Order: sequence, then C-alpha cells, then structure tokens
Amino acid sequence: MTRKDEMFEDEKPFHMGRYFAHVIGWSFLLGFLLVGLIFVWADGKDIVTGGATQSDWIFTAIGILIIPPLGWALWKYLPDFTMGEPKTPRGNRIRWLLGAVVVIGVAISFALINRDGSDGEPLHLFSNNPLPADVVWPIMALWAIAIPIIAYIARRNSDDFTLAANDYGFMLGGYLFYFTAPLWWIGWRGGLLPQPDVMILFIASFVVINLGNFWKRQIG
Amino acid sequence: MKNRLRVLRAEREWSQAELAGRLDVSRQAVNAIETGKHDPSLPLAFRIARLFEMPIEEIFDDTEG
Repeated sequence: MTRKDEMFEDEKPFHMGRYFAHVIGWSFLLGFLLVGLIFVWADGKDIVTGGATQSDWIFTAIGILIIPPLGWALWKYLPDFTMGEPKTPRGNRIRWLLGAVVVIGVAISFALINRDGSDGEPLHLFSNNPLPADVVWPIMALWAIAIPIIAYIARRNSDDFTLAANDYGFMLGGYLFYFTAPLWWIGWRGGLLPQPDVMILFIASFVVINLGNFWKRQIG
Repeated sequence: MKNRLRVLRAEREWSQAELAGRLDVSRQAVNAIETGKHDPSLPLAFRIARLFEMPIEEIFDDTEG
C-alpha cells in the first residue's frame, strides 16, 4: 500500500484538523449571530408589546449591533463544506442536506425559545420537565417527517466509502444500545439503578455512531 | 486487501479526483482504497474493473502477506 511520504501532493488525505478548526470557528460565529437574533426576537417582542424593561432595550440594542458584523464575517469566512472534494451534483445534494439539518436544529430551538413555561421559566430541550403540547406537536411533526427523508436522501447520495463508515458507526451505536438498554431497564426493575433515560441512551449512541464513523474514515 | 489501483491510475495519468469522478465516488474513497483503509463493495470493484478493462483479480489481491 502507498505510504504517506510516497504520495504526490494531490494524493494526500484531506487535512481534517484544519478543516474542522475552520468549521468550528465559523460555527461559533454562527452561534453568536443566533444569540443576537434571539436577543432581538425575544426582547424586541417585549418592546413591541409595550411591556419592555431596561434590560429588554439593552439586549435588543446589543442584538442589533452584533448582527451586521457577524453576518458579514459569516459570509466572508464561509467554509466551502466540500472537505477537499471536487464539486459534484452528489456532493452538492449532501451539502444541501447538511444545511437542512442545521435549519431543523434552529427551528426546534426557536420553537422552545419562543415560549416560556407556565412558571415563567424558559423551556429546555435537554431536560425531563414537561413541555406544553402546542410546542411539542410541531417539533414531533418536524422530526418525524424530516428525519426519514433526510436519512433516505443521505443514503441515496453517499458513496461506497461514506456508506461503509456510516454503517460501521451505526453498528457500534446499535451494539451500545442493544447492550445497555436492557441492562439498565432490568437494573431499574430490581431497584439497583435509576429509571432509564431514553435521551441519555440516544445521546450516548449518537456520540458512539459519530466516533465510529470518524474512526472508520481515518483508520480504516 | 492489496490492490494496484494507484499504479493503474498513474499509468493513465489520472489524478485521484479524476478517477473519483469517473467512478462517481469521493476522492476520499479513492484515497482510502489506494491506501488499503477501505475494501470496496463488490459493485464498486466491478465498476473499477470495467473502467480499467481488467478482471477484478488483476486489480485486487486477497492473498496474505
């Protein structure tokens, strides 16, 4: 097999570290922009409805001030999201799909941010507290409709190598769930463990799936 | 699994990106096959064999060592 020091420049593996540093830095900027939008949305709403406090004015002003420069920086430093690949129709479809995933994440966050709980406290996604049904219905519908479509399109547009890496990651995540869920459940039934938490199992599986995927891509 | 993909590609003066385009896979996929990180599926192995107009066993070698 070809060693790294025997490779020509255009044969070298893509520099994932530099790429991810760029994407993570850009994601931070995007996060700050979203915070600015939330300030304007949530506190500006109080100004419009006439119930504004001094902090509403301050946060709305901060939001209005940070949105334009952050928007400019996001546009100027937008990663190409190609990971060193030539731009092909299949790659473009995958990038549109990644964009759709981000939009769904933002939509779910906004559904929660837009409402306060009955006690006036903010609603949190990663919590086991009850949520109002009118907030939960759109999130459930969005997830139930979007995820199967995204999974189908992603699978149809993934190449041999990506499919192998995804399948490897999902196999590890599946084994984790298959092993852990019954163990936790029976432990709870016996009074040895706390009640199983489906979101902990989901997040742990999600992390393992992505680590497995990354491992398969880098190590083989 | 060992393979002669890099040699065959070089003989035709194709870059990895060019071969990836001809096979409708990513450059990462070509790189992973050439470096032995990934064994292609049977359909992709057939596509590679057809592209180079060679039998699969002349491109891929499953013998140990």
